[in-house]
Amino acid sequence: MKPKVSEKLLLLKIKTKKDPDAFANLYDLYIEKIYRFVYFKVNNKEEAEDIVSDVFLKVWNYLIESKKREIESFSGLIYQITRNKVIDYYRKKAKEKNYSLEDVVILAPDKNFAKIETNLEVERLLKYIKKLKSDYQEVLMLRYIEDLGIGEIAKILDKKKTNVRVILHRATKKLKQIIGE
Amino acid sequence: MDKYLKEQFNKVKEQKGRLKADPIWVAENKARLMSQINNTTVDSAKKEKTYSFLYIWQVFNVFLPSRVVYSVLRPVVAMVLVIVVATSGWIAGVSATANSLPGDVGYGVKLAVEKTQIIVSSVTASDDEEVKMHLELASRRAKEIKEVVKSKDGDVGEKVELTVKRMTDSMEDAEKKAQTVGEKTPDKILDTGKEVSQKSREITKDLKEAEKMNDSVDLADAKKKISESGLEAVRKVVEKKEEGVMQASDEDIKKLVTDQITGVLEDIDEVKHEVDNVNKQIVDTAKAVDDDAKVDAEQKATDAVEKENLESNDTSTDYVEGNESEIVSSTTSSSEGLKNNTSSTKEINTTTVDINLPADIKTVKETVEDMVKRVSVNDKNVKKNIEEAQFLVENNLLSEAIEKVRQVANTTQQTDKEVKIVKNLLTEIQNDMKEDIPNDVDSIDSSIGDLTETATTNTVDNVLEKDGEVSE
Repeated sequence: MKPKVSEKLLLLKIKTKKDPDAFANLYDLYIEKIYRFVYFKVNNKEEAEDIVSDVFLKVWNYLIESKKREIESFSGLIYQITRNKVIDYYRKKAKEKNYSLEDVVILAPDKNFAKIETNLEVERLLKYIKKLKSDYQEVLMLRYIEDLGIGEIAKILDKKKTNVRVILHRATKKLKQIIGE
Repeated sequence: MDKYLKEQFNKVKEQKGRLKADPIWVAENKARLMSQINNTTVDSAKKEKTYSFLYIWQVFNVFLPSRVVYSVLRPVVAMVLVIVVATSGWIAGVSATANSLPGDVGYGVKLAVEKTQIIVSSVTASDDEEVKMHLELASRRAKEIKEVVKSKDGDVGEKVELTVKRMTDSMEDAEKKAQTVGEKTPDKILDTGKEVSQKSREITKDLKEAEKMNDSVDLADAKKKISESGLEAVRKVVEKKEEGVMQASDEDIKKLVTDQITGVLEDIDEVKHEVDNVNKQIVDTAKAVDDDAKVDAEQKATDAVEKENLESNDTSTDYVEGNESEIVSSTTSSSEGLKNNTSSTKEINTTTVDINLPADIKTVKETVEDMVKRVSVNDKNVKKNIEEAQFLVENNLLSEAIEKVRQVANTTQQTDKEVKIVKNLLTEIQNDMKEDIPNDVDSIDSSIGDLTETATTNTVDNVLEKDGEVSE
């Protein structure tokens, strides 16, 4: 069975029978991706773990409670919820430390990230990416690291496909520019 | 994107193991999440599930690419609905077919709707819910049979036969699904067993009512099948309980078996009532036949005597003697000559009665009396078995009790069948009586033959079987 079909079947089982086992399967499928996505944004193991736990619980509640809505794509849903959680996290943080949202993104602590022994080239690339606008970062991450399609990214970011293509194009252009500097 | 960037991203992808979550945390988090989820769903999972159109729609969604669903299927379904509603008033149409009977125009639609329900529920519903649905369909068929019999249409027999077939099919489906429930989810078998047992009682009741409305409708086999299904369901519950794969209190299961016994007792009462009824009718009929024959014979004798008198007055003695022999031959009496008028009247009277009663009516009477006797013997055996079954239940030997109930039910159903044969025969005799008895001697004779053959062998076998069991 194609991965997407099995994913949809699992979703249907959750919606009709409230099947925890089906959700456990989805957890296994997505935990690494979501963790990576969050970690890349917050650069802190503990914070990332907390956020990811919250994300999965929220997804479950959403699936159980929203009876009327049909879910077209689980990946779209989970990344959207993750994005919102990360934004909430930064808002909270900004309030606490009185930083602006943009500042926080840029000033996000880098030390944990540095601890990870990535090779120099990769580390440099990731650093460059982090210099980009958060919109650009997300699109590049989702497209080239998580290998998602343009359609899916559009759903996650709640944008039109053409819009995503434009952002992706600008992001690569900007990235190349930074690398060339 | 240029080559250099692509390479860089590929390196990140290769390196993404470095960004891996801690496996211990992943496992712990999963366990924590599952326990949280289970806490939130304990209450809601118990709630009655509802299957709306949305779920059917989502089933489509799973198996077809979303592009097909949204750009092809959705508009097509919408279009079809619009056309149907616009042209035939679909909503009114379907609800109107719910009350349609076999032979009606809308009946096909009703069956088609039910078939769709079966297919949909085989995808979305659990096994025990499917059992409920099949039972519901069987019960609908039983109600239809009742209505058809009530309507007294031309081809009642044919319609009833078809509907009985559909009903027993649904019941078989329910039985099969109940078996799956027993194998897959033994915890639910008690509820399912209760459901099947109760519905089978309801259906049998409907069938009995249908029979009462029209004597010529024979539903004995259908009733037998339905009650066997009910009993089988109870037997399965007991079996699962004895295997120890199901949690249920002894009281619950005992009650289930006792309900079956009560049901069989009710059946026995009804059959006994029927037997008594038939017996009474037989006595009346025999008496009427007897009286008729006597009156007939007396009439004939008187006629003959009058004729004789007339003729003896008018003609010579030789002539009289010729007439006498004619009368004698016509009544096939003894060949002795009749010397005087008084003695001849007496003689003819007795011989006529001897000729018309013994050969035919007497045999009917005897056969029937014999059968009634045998039926009541059965009745006694039945009572004995019931007492034994109750004793077994009290001592918690449930599967043995069910076996006893099954025997009793079989005997009762057999008796029920025999009573019906007697009843039909009786109607035949009564009809014949209204016409001319002597002319129809042959037809009665043959029907007695049939009856004696079928009923006697059945009953004798039964009694023999029972004697064997008792002696064992």
